Amino acid sequence: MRLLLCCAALLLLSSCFEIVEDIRFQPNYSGSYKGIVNLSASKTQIVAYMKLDSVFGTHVPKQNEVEIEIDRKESLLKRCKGIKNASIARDFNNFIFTIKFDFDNLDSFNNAYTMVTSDKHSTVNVFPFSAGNKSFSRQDKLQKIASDATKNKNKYPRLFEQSKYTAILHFPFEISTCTNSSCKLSNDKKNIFISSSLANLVNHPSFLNTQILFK
Amino acid sequence: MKKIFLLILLAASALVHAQDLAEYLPQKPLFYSRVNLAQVLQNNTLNSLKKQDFFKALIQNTLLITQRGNDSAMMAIIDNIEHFGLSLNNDAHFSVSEVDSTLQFDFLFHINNSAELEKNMSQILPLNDSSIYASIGKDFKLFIHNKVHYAWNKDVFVFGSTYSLRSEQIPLYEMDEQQIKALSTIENERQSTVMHGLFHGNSNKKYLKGLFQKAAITSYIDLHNIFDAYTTMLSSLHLGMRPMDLQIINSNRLVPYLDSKVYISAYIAGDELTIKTKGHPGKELRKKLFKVYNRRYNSSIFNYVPAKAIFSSGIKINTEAYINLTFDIMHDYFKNMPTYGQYATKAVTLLQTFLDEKGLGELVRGDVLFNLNAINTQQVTYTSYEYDDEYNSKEVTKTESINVPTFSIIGSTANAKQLEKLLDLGLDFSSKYIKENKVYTIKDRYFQPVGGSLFITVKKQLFFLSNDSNFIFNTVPNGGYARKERTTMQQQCARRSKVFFLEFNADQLLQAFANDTSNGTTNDSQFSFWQNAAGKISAEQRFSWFGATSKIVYKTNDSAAVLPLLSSALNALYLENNRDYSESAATDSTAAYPIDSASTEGDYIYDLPRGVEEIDSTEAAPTDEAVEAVEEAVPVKKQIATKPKKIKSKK
Repeated sequence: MRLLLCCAALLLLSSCFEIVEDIRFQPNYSGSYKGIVNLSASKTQIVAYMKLDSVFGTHVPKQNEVEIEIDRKESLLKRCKGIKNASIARDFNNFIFTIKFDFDNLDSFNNAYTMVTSDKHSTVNVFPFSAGNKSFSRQDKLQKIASDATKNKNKYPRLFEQSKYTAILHFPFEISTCTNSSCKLSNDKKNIFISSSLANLVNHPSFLNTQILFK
Repeated sequence: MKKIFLLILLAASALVHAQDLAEYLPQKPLFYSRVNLAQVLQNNTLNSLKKQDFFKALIQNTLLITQRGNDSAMMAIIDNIEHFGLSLNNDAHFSVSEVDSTLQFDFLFHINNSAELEKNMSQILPLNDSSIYASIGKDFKLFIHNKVHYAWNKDVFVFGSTYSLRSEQIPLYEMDEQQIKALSTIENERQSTVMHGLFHGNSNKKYLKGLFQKAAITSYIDLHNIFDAYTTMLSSLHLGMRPMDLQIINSNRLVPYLDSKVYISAYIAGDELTIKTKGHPGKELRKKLFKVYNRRYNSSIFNYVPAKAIFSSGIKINTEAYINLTFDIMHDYFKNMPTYGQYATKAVTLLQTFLDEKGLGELVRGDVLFNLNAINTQQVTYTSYEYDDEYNSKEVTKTESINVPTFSIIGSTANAKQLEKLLDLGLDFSSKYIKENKVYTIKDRYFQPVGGSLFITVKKQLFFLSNDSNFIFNTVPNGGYARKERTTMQQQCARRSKVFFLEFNADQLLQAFANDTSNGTTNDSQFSFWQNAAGKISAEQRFSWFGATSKIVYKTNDSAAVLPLLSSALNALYLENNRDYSESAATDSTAAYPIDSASTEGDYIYDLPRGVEEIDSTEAAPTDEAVEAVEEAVPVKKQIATKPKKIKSKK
């Protein structure tokens, strides 16, 4: 998740953007992942900013730079073991980027997730997802984002407060307990929904941490 | 005769006022500022300042610089700063001067209660250690600690610091203990010498005569000597500078352009803040600038400024003289520059030969207005997501309003036909650039924030650039707006040619953003601050043979007092710069995920993180006892990442 942001450093300049993660698990913890970085609410400003080299000291990547980075991620994703049907769709008119892939098991998923969300500057392995017998856990390592944001707070201004992160986890089992009170449970008790501003995630790195027990 | 006598009397009284503590002021400061504390702290300002974080930090980091931490005694001093022993009804002074390659910063205050001062100083400093005192002229007590000095007698209190412009030959990090100790002693001795020099100054200080006498804050800046001090400092720093770089800095080729003395003052009157400046450039610079600024506006420019423009600003220069000045500066800068100077100078000469500055001066004469006419709204669509009961997402299209500023730039030309020919040149290159009825239109997605299109037209001796189609297609052909709609400043500029002017109706801008629903401005808790702060700002600058003067006037909205607004703004800025964004976070010291993009052998896979069990889909459903055991189990342990392990792909 963290560096879905970095796929487009333009996010630093947007007035509003949205990140949505939709993860569907099967009983054997294979499944599919869909991640969307949606900057369409800021497309008017982004189009203008892309003409500039930098804005307020922050480098503005050109479209071809973003394309190259996306191609690189896509290529790495396809090489991950246990990952199929990987693709990163890009719409430079509305600035919506969609990452999709299917995974064979949780390890492959963690592998690919880490790959997509880390970059050469990151020194933290993410591996947020784990499962046990009738249990599931997300322990996101967002501390690094928080400390990066602290060190570079001029690069991560108030704009994050107007942006939203949403994660939806679909399970094949009914959920009996969920430790994160910010999560919402669907009517059929098989789906978890959590949403927050990115600023909140930076200020509270453990916000997404969740432990789930199934019936 | 009577008038002359009165003038002399006025000047003398001004001098007397200026000589307040004058004998303690430096002879030739780099910077000097005098604050009329009675004016600045009127109307309970001090009490509201004491509640501001930036003010507490300021006192702690200046007056209490020898102390650290939030000691309750220090907090008590700040809370009772008005009883510190210093007079808050007299002027306070701040100066920066250079003595023997050392910068000295000094704050000077009148004392109104010596006993109270002594008592408070005993909390700040270990006054019972008599060995650290030096008794110097005029019954002063002097205390020096870590480059900070405090000195006082029965009338005046001084505290400040010094900074050496010349670094020692051995970098500090290479010194041993004894050398550092010796360095400290040298510094203290130097400070003592400096202090002696300070208090023996005479009162004949010319810069005091040029100050604005009735201002709340008035300051003097000596640009020439500041630049000298800067080059002294740079040439002494061991920052890996090459000898050539030091020569460039030390040659001071641009010093004649910095040979200026500037006076700045601030006047505060309730809801109005006025800042005035006067500058006395050196003779050389003054001659060149006079040619640049000595022209008039084309007064018909002002026909095209709407009366209720949010922002309007104009400047008039002589383009030809300005280009010539630029070449002069470049010549002065590059001549005598080691190694590359001769080539650079030749390049400048070549450019000067081929560039037709007179032709450019005719094309764009140099009087230009920029106006922000209004903030319009525009509907834009964007994609968002909605969710059903099972949190399956669905794309939806939403609409929001964004602000689109409409602006216009108007300038004068002496060669309209040539300008049109230039504009015609680009017509064949792109379909996004078209001409219709003498209006050139550029349409590009990059202009979406300003409406999507830019328009250019030329009419008589004026050219227009705007994103407002109504302005270009209706207002310009009709000759502009009625003359009676001109503001006072615009009328003055049309008649008397101020070099630069600016009018900003901030309250109109705020109103436009208040109507913006896309960023929730009206819900912003700071909005009420901006409602009071937004008012009107006007500025002007004049230039004559004797120098440059400028004036900026800021008038708040709804008669809100300026000082509380300024202190709130400073506090918000201070808090923003000292904002803590994170919880205490433990950093993970594990190795990065090493993607070897050049590798072609097999794939990488991580070991299963600890606490994660393998899921076997063939396993039988767990018993109730097994489920209960899981529910009572300790939560999943923290994962510790391991280095990637290469595995050979199975053939």
